[in-house]
Amino acid sequence: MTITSLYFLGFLCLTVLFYYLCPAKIRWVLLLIYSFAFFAFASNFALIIYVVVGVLAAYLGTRLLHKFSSAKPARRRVILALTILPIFGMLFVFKYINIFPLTFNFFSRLFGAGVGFDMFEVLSVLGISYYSLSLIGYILDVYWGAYPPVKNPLKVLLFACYYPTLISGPITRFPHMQKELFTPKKLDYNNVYMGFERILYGFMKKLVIADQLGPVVKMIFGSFHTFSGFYIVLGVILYAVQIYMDFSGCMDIVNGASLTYGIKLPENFNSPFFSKNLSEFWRRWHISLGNWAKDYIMYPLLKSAPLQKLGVSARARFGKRFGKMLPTIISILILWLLIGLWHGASFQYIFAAGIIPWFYLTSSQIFDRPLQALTKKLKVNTACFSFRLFQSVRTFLLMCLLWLFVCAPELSEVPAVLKSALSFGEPNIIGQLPHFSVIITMLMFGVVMAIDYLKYKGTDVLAAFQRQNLLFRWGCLLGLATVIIIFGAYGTGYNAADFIYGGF
Amino acid sequence: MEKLKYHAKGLGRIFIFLVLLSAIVWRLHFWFLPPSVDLENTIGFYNEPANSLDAVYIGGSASFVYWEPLKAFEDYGIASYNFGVNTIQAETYLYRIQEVLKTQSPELIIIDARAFQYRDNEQPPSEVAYRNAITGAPLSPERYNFIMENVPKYLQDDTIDYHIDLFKYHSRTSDFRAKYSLKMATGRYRNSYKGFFFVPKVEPIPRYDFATTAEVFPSDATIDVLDKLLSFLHGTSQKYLFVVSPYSEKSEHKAVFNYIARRVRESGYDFLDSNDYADQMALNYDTDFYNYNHVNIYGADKYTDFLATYLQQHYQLPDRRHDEHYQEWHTLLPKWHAKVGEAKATIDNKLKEQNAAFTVSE
Repeated sequence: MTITSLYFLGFLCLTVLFYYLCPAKIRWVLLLIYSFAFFAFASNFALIIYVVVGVLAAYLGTRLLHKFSSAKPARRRVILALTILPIFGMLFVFKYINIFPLTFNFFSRLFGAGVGFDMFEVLSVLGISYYSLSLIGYILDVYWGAYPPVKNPLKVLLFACYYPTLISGPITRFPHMQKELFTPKKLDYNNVYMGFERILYGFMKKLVIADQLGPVVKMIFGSFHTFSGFYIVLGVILYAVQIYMDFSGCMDIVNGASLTYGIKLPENFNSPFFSKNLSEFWRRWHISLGNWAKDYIMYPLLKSAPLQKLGVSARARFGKRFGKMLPTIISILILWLLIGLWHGASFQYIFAAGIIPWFYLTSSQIFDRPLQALTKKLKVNTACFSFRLFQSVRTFLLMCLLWLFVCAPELSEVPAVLKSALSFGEPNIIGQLPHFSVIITMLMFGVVMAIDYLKYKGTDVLAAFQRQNLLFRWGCLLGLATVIIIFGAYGTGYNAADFIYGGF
Repeated sequence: MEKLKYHAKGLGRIFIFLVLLSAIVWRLHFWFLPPSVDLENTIGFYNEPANSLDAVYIGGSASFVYWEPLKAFEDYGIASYNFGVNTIQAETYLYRIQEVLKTQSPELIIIDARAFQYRDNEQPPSEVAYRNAITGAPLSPERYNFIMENVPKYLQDDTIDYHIDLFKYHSRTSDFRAKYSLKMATGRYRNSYKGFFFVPKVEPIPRYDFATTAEVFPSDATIDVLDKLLSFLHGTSQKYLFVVSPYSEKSEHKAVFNYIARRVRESGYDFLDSNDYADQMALNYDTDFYNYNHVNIYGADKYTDFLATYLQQHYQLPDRRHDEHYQEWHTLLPKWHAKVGEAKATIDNKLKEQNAAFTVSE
């Protein structure tokens, strides 16, 4: 059962109905049952054992950490390590075990050794990348004494496997989810309406834009040698649009589905394509992962004794500025390498989602002052629309350059893709595309960008939409439904494309 | 009271919205159907005036390139329609008859029996067969049951886009013809030839000695389909005639038909293998067919004469030629004659070319 299927809509409608028919106090138990049911429909139910084991480790570990809250730090660190180990271990085995043969094969190829290992065939546990991080965050918060552990293990289980978050996140925090999941809520029809409106919007992003662009991107990069630079550039721009529409569309469906139960999930996107620089982009793209990484990787690293020491010695040798910058650069490097690895056990992701963003951010940190000085010297007006537009376009193009590494069939083929990107040739595919569908896809992308711009400017678009006249709202919603039904990529003839971020 | 009002308002809005959405889906349902003779035959059938047909011929191409409803009307006064689609499967018959009986109460339903013979080997159940049987037909419990009973069983396929044609055909924007779709979607389309389809081709085919009295059991699946159909027919008040139209029949086919014929007759229905009457029809296997399995317009003329005479003798169908309610049928005849003439001329030319080529090669 994919979340863009009618089966999912049927599942949601039925579960929402029963949810509100049940007494408010026990609704969270119903959500747990729904999550188990969803796991069974969307994956192999037997694999839920791994979720349960992870939750059990988190539950018992946090109880122990709380019990030994005044024990020696070393003892607590041992408990922490033993608590995180099973969760991290399962994540590692199910997601990253292939890093070993992959690394060996990579270097074997590099040095022409001619030997290689076969990849391990591992099971795919639904949502493991997301619930593992949520659980680790919960454990660390309890370890740091941010809040006491929860007494009921079933509540930890629901926190981990609340079904809308299993598909592609968001990575949730316990205090937020505790308030949302376990506080009894009255039926508010506005939540139900807004939930379904958001689902519809997500369907449009996924089916009318992302999945329509998918085959074009696949065609271009599947045989990039045959395409000229124009198409490679077009392909990577389309990929940028595809991945954003795919992931944010999924988030709209997930957040909308959750809202129908009255449960608000954290947002994962906030108009990233309008970002003026790369650090702003990363604050607006996959927000829950970025925040998680900052809180649980970067800040603890910055506070760690070795990096503090390094900072002091660097300050003494190379000056105050560099001494301050060096620990940050190192912690950002570790953070981005881990984020890259989180995306997948492949050097392509480590490079594209790890090293390149680190390089971008470090360069911008190093060159920030000289560039500001240059801008001032050249008397560039930075407070006008054209400069802001330039900044947004520059950020987008830098991201496209990054995504080019993801689009290439393999990391080793990136130079060839770049070479193709710089070649000239006859246009040969635009004429083959179904014009009407292309126009609709572009039109819908324009609508999404307009809505994103309003959000960027601080408008709560969904609430503003809710304030409009019923006739206008229904006209828009029925129109949107019609567009999805006619121009959506679904049914026979289309492969129900999995969500790109579902695979991470 | 306030609470009740709140819920009534909330649920009422959801209900009205869903009704409006369903209405849109319902209307769009007909808009993206692929243009085809199957669609035209199906939609044309539903747009026939209610209870206006005395005979309905159900089957595949073994019906709609054979039986000429307008010739049968003009020469014998029979008001009939070919409710046929390509590559039909026997398991669709029950559903097709249910559909017929919703808007028509024909005296006689003619069932193309060849589908019972070819489903085991030559043409097993396929997606296209089921799609043809349902495309253009309204959404109904019968349609739902047909899909649920057959699609997962024979095709092991997901059923959702069988239930809603739009989900299958929505992406066909490249061959979308607005005028055609408008006609199909708004109930304005009328089939000018009452379901007959012209194939202006000719090809000599072999005539086998197929005569045999042996019986061969087709398969459990086919007999299940037949038994289910026969059991359904018993619950209706219509008369039914199972027919094998002329083709290049072989003795192994005949043996299967013998078995089916016996089962049909034991159930109290008539079974007619018209291949047994090929000489009586004066069928010419060099000029009256366009391939092994189908007659051309010359063969169709002969078959229609033969079957109409048979119907007159056995079923006392009313003569509608002077019935004022059937004046519209007379208006269709000039176009029909023109089309028949055109098809025959094309075939004659092809025959001439073939003869010329034969003479040269000699």
